[in-house]
Amino acid sequence: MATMKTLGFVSGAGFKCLNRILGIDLIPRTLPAIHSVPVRYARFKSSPLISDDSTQYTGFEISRNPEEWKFVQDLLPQPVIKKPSPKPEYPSGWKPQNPPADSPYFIQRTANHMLPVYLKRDTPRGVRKRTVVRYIQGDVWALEEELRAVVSKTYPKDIFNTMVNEVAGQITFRGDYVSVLKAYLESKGW
Amino acid sequence: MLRRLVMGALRPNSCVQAAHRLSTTTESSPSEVEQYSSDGFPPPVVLSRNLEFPTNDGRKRMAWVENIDTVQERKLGMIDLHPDIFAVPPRIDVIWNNVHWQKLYRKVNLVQVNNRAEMIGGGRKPWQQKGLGRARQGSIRAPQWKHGGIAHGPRAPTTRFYMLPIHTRLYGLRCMLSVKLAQDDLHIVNALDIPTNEPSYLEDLAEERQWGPSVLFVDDTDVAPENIAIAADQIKHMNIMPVYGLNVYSMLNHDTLVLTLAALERIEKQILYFMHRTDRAKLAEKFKTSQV
Repeated sequence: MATMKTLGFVSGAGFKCLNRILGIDLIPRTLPAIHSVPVRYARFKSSPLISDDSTQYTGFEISRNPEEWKFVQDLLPQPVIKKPSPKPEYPSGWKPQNPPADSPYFIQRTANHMLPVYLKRDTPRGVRKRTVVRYIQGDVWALEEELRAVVSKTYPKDIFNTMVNEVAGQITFRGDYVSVLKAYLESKGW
Repeated sequence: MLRRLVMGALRPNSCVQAAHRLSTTTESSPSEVEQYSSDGFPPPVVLSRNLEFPTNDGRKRMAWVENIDTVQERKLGMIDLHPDIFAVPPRIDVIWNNVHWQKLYRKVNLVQVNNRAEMIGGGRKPWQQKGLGRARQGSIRAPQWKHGGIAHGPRAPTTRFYMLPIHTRLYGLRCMLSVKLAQDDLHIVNALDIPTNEPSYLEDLAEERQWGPSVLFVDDTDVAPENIAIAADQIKHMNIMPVYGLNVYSMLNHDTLVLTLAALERIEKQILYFMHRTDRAKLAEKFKTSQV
């Protein structure tokens, strides 16, 4: 039905060719009014409606129980990122922050409760990589010294530079050291 | 009764409204509240607020709550401020980004120069193509000619509009609020009610408390109390703004920022919500002019 309506607007040589090829008359005898809107539904909508035969559907019942509604609510998207409920162990291997006491610096977790260690590239899909540690408070230089030692110990042959942005609380390493730094910071409880 | 005492101290005129505004505020110890000082006013109360999304890094920021219904300052209490908003590092680059954006996005360049088609004349070929030993020329208004049209000149109207990423805008607000607090240019008042509509009252107030000279009052409603509206209207460097109008440029333009308690709550709530939204990645998408 929809096809017919749509095609009703299309007329011309090309369409007549189609008529010849298909051997059928696709142009309706009475053209629809110009002001009518062509119906171009997606395929699922242009197919005929399923009859109101309840035997075709899975059975259901309507419940207005607030206890059951809680399960639905858990599936709805949350407006804000919530704090994870405390558990001894998490299936993903994620660990909550357990900062060491008397540290000269503090590394704040991100809004997603993850470690703020990122891999950046100088150009999109480029080969020059940088590792950035963000959200550092306190003595950024002390942390830089510590992390430099860690990377040097893990990769003794590597020559890398670091850059400290004290105001922004960021340390940048030249090279990809995300896994090393993440593992180290996690082991320290950050 | 205890709650009413605290609220009464904060805003004698309308307890109900103050109680509504201080919905997340809880008072500390009853003994502090019930002791009245010699001048008849209750002593300052430490109001510990239940901050949403608390941090565990030990940063702590507090501010006095003042009154402005007398020229003489009276401390009404002390409240906690969220460290993620009032204790972030002063990123001058982020503040500059915000100010630059605010200056530019409203601008429309109206300068236009004529191109060769818009100049008068020039339709005729000045001399024949061959035979004169001269360079071939098609129009006296060609761009290489003196008094010719301008090639690739400015065309009006050219908008300078662009959109700063939302997280840069939010970070700018947080930086600016932190800077104002660190420089002792942020003051929190219970309400914007002043007893008179004389502009000299506001001037005396600023003089007495070493505010300003320029002061920006921010409330969470866009209908200011009549007295302060009339008074501030006559002083060009004292302005009133609702929370939804708060911006980096205005904060930078004014020496002192005065927030009401309600405005503070609203600002914190909004910024924290945007910082912890689950759809932050979608928010950070490139701005399209067709979007709402």
